[in-house]
Amino acid sequence: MSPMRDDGRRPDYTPAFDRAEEGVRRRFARHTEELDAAASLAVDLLAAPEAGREELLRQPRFRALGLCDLLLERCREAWTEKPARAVELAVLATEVAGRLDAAHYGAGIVEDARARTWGHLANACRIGSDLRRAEEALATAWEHHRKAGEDAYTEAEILSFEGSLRNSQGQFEEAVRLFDRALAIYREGRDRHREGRTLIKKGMARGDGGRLKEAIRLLRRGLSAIDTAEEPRLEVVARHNLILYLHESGDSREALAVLERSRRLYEVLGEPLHRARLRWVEGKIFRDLDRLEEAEVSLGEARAAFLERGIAFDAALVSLDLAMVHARRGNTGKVQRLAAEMLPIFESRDVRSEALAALVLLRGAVDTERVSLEILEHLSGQLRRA
Amino acid sequence: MCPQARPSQEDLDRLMQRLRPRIAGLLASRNVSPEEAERLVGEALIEIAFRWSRMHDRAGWLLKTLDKKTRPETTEEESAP
Repeated sequence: MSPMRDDGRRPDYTPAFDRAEEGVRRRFARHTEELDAAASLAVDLLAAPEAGREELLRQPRFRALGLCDLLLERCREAWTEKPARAVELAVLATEVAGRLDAAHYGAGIVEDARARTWGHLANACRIGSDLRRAEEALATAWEHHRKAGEDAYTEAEILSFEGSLRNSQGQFEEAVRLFDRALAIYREGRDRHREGRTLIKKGMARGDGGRLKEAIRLLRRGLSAIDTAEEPRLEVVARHNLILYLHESGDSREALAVLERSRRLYEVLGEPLHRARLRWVEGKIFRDLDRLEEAEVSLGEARAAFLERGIAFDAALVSLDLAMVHARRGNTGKVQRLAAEMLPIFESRDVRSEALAALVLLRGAVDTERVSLEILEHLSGQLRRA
Repeated sequence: MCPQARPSQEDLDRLMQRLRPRIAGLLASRNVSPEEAERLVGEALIEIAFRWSRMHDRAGWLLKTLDKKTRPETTEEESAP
């Protein structure tokens, strides 16, 4: 039937729009009730032992989009500090999404939820250093995204997760290309906060790829665009990387100035690990500004914080920085002791051949008690590139 | 400001009231019947309601979605250079 009326005028869509709105009102009222119930469902699910969760998930009340969204939110909260927990939450979210009823929500919404949950799982696995599993989860996310009808926001989110994965794999140019595609979507949607967040991620890809000046520019642009009320910890991460890249580009004075302006932010919003990393970068800056006594204190605190949390590799990297401070101060006994402690940790990791050669050099120096500043600096440079 | 997690009835009503003339113009230009309009608008509104917190330009999204869903299929002859 042609919509045009006999008199050639536009048809009256008013009754159709009224009915559409009424239908949405009814469906969304049910969804609102579901969101309210999601919190208690999540409590039940997370409190259940692993074996009991499968049984719970089979119950119809757990086939809820609201529960899925809540699990994703909890996953995002966990992924910086507790990556294993973030993976667990993302897996649960994929299981909930896998059971959502397409007849109830509509196939597009259900496939979109599945795409988002697999995307979150990919990102949680990447943060937990399981890059192979992250790659597999990402492929599944794209598959569901195509079936969902390719919602632009979900696409930008998955592009961003993929960009971070490529960055972790050392594919910096590909990461930047993916972040640029996500940026275009956020710009078109006039979503300034997410645009800012993506600029920060792109800046980190540039920084990790060694293009420090560009990284600094991107981080500054990102910081001016993000809404810190929406995602407060993002500012801590961005400022931390800005400080790091300023320092690595040789501008230690500016790095220290930004650090001083950011200290309160770390204290108020930062997680314990953020504060440990602040002490670490602060120690390196002090060392390069020849403020060796202060460097020793900051690096010592950072090292203790990493050791306390069992983060051995980062503790060993801080030990290397601390050993360089001791070497400059002529404390050869302390250099020797730290070198002997960190060496087995570095040796236990898969590192590039150049870094391996530097480790062999250090091993020889430890055995003959001739660890020098030059050997430590050489190893530090090689590990940074590894 | 953090976008709210879910829309109130007033939020959805306000959005739709503001866009009704433009949506009607778009649908009429594509010869969409009132029955089809009810289905398309209903689907788009429910999607926007579910994705409320992740969208900032909701009006733009709604118009773009309806434009995409009612765009005529391009035939091979039309797309040939």
